[in-house]
Amino acid sequence: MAVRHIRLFPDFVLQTPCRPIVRIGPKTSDLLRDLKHTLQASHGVGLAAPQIGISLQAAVINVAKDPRKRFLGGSNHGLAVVINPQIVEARGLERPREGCLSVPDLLANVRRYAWVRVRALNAEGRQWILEVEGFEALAFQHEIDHLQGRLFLDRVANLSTDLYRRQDLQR
Amino acid sequence: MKHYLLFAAGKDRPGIVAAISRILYRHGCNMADSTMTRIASEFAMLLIFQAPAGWRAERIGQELQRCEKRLGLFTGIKPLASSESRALKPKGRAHIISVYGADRPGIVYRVSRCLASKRINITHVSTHRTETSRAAGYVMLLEVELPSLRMAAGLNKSLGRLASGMGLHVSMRPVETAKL
Ligand SMILES: [Zn+2]
Repeated sequence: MAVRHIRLFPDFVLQTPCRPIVRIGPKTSDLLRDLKHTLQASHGVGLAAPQIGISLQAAVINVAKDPRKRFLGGSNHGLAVVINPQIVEARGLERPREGCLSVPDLLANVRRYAWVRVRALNAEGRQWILEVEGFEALAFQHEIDHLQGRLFLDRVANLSTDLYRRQDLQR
Repeated sequence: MKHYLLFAAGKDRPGIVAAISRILYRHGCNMADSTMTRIASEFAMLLIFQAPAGWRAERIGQELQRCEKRLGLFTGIKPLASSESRALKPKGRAHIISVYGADRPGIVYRVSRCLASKRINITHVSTHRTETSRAAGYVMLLEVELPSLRMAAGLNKSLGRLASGMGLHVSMRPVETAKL
């Protein structure tokens, strides 16, 4: 069991787009195992390879045990492994308040889709298409952003929870 | 009816908002727009109020001074011309800009100078410095008004150049508003 050290902002690896994995082999299995173990130890709902210092497109997500799943609802794929994931379709709007294991101090109201269809490879290298919704959809979008070198800070929806004057709205 | 701007800041503790609003209330002043927030361990308030006819700012001066002493505040009042108390018409579509990366001197200055050189108005800014045992990080979030798509594209390019030269990450997107 290898629990890796979680890279923290402003580690440059977190703002660098990751390379796709072109050959799935023993190294990939090692990476996925480390991701799973580190996720389990961190009590998070998702972990992307750059968060353990590996700039490759792989992430693990598991919302099954998170209490927020209960009131945000949605799908539940259990422990999901995605390699080279891409969002191919998206719908709906959520404005959750998000944080990140790699940015311990900050939270922000972000803009996310409520439902996404994701195309990815699984641990065996076979293509699979998942439809995720609700809390799980938020987790997928967050981890896929990590693989593109983006943090939730790039999804900030508004700078405060202030009221705005009507005339400040866009037509 | 005359409008005034009032600011007050000091070490955060219970009772600051109550003390300031009590003074205004007792003098028959109406509080209009305000923004009040805590920054680190300090609390700051900035507000506009409307005074009754014939009222003079000196009237609350003494009470504010007492308040300053009792609560350790720093306060000020400034009269506004009637045109200044009204909300400005937006000068374009609101956009959010995120800039972040390893902390280094000049991030706020260079980003804001880039905006100022294009005569772009900043409407909100929020910055955060983070520190771990390994390194310090800096996050700067801005809301700006952009009059045209062309300007948005040009700004995106300039900020991208600036950010990559400083090892920072930058992104920009329009604020989406749902009118329900
Ligand atoms: Zn994260």
